[in-house]
Amino acid sequence: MIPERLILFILGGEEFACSLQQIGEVMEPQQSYPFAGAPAHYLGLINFHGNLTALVDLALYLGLKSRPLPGKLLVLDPRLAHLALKVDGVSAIIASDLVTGEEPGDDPLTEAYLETPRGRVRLLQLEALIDELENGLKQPPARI
Amino acid sequence: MDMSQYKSLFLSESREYLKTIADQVVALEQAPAERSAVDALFRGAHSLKGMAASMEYGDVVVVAHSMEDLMARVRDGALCFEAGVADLLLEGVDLIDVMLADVEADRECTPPPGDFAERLRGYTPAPPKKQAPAGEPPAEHPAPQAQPGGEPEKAKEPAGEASGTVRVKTELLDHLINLTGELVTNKHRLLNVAQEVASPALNDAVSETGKLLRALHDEVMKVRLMPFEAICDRFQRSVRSLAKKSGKEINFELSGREIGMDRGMLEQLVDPLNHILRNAVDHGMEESAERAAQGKPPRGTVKLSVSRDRDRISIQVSDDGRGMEPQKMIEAAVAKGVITPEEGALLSPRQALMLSCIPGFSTAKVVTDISGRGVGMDAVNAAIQKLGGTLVIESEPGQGSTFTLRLPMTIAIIHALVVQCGNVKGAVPVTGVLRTVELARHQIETMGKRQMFQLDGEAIPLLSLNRVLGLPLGRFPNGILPLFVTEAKGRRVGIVVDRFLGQHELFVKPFGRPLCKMAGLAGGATLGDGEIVTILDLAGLL
Amino acid sequence: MATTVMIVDDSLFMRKMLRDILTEEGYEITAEASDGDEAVARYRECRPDLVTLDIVMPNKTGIEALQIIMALNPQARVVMCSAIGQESMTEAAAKAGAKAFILKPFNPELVARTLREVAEG
Repeated sequence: MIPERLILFILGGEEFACSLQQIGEVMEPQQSYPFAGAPAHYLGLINFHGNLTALVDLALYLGLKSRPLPGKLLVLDPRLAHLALKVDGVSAIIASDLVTGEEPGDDPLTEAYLETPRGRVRLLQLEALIDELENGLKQPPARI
Repeated sequence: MDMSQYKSLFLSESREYLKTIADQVVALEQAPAERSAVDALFRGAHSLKGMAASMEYGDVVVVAHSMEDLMARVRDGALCFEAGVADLLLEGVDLIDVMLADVEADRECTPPPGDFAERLRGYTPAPPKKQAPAGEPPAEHPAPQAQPGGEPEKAKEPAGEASGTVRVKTELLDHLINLTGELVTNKHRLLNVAQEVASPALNDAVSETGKLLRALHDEVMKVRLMPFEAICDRFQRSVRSLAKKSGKEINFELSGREIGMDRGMLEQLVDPLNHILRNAVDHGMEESAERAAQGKPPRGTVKLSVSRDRDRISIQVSDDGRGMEPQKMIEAAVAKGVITPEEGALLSPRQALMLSCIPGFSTAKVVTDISGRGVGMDAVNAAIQKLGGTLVIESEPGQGSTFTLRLPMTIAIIHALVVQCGNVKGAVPVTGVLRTVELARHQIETMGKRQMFQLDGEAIPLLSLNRVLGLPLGRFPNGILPLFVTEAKGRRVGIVVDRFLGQHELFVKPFGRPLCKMAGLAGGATLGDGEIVTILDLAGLL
Repeated sequence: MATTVMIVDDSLFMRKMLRDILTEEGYEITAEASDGDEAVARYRECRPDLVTLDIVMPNKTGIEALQIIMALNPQARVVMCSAIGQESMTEAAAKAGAKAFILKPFNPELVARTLREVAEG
């Protein structure tokens, strides 16, 4: 099922998409605070309407080449997670009827590849991303 | 008539009735003739039936109805209230509890076992008990067990909407405390500004606001207080069924059920306390024969007592069982490779008992079906520390053990020591800090691979928090190492940091996904200047 | 002026349902009580035109409360609420002066009709 509305964003030169419904807000980069013991893709914590929100460098996490800041922050709907994703830029918001083709994804994070007016985009499965990030944190931090 | 609008009221009131029923069952076991408890039990089942019928939840009606009929037989004197009746009623409570969860989740109702109603209807009293073992009070004679905490309560009804009270959704309470916390954070911001502009008038206004905020905070906290009683029935029931399962005879005494605690905290205490109680019944308590041979009363006693000392709550679980031997604990820990023999030799008896809180440590020879499940003592200790509390274990071999939990009454606002390590700021709840020390480099002694320092005649190992957190080590150009002393693995440790940033009043916010899964972090908080610090969970880190 | 009603039931759920049904029918709910003692006390204070009285309640059953209310006001119009299976109670209640019975679970139309009949005497 393709979400009704998609937000398209750029990451390491590639075009990505995710469901607009799962995004609470698109923000300009803001001050983040580093925290202890986290893997490198965590840039720190930001305060999003009183929620302490983890900021993840999505390009770094996906192994893509990130462009230096500023970029944009996609803050997930707080009901899903307290998570913000740093991306290189947001390119468009489109309705699903503009999608002309769909191919199944080839990894758990990719729900599908979509043909859109902006070319081929990778539709991210945010639930799977949150699960993966959680699993990555379950190992105890560096031992003494 | 559209009944969906009544669903949440149905659920909340039904759960209150279930709790009343479970409470009264336990009270009646102590004093089977208590008329008011019999009546309250009957009414509870009756009201549940009526409400479920209105909602057209047929399965709930069937179970509640058969419970009501069974209680009617007790009320009318056709049946004595005895263990068999109690078992059936508690089984019914559990069945309905599951069905309510289904209703709440809009799931298909789990149907009750087909024979449940039949078993209640056909219930006949058990044949008279065989002669009780010598020395044990006959079961029909509950007097020797009567104690303040175990007395049948005055039959209670679910709190209705008496005049002057309102029902409030728990989310609203959470929201209130959140807003209050934000205000406290903002007060600190104002304080920072006031200091910068050096305006006495502003200072006064801010300090007055601070006082008002404290009053507001106290009031909001009071609203969130719930009596400890809210979670008592689970303990009574779990001790009861555990004793039954292990064939031990146990007297369970409860006191202080009226003491109020933050509701969020109460929820998080259920598992740790259950575990400690399980340990007491399963490992701590001897069989009757063994007790008799030692000249102890054959029936063991487990006590759960709650008390308050100003703004701290103390919860004690004690048993008169076999107790623990510190030396054996040390031997077991060494054998398991948890500590070295040298470390073991340094432990005091009290420290040795705390070894049970080290992950992977269990002194039970065989992990039994009962205590083997779920959390271990290490998880118990971590949970208590997360709540800003402490755990102390005392034991006298042959006489029994006592587990004492000391907890703040409320959780949301804590006092914490904020420290800097590399580019990271972290906060350590002051309850976990025994003291702070500024150590000169020459005071450090090296013993083997470890660095130690002397404090009150004890050699205390040093650990770098930077290293624990995977950060570059501090340099300490002036030769002074700031450290705080805390207790880990049952003994004192000095944790070296780069810098102390002072003690702060912090409003703790839990992390959402994904950080809630990260070990070593107990949440975060915002400092007065808007900076975010994480609350370090030392038990999880060390 | 709207007919005033006092609702007595130990279950908040039941009171809320009755309140909704009766408000819809144009009655004015002037009092609620959750046990027998409270029912009597509230009756003294507000003297409602009609009372709906549950039978199984703490601190005085509905029957006991009914007897006191009838002693306070022999003209009181009280409708008993009872569940199926309590037929033995209805006789005692009728003797004590109850004007009618409504059965739980409530059927809104039936409840409305019964109360209308009792109110019109």
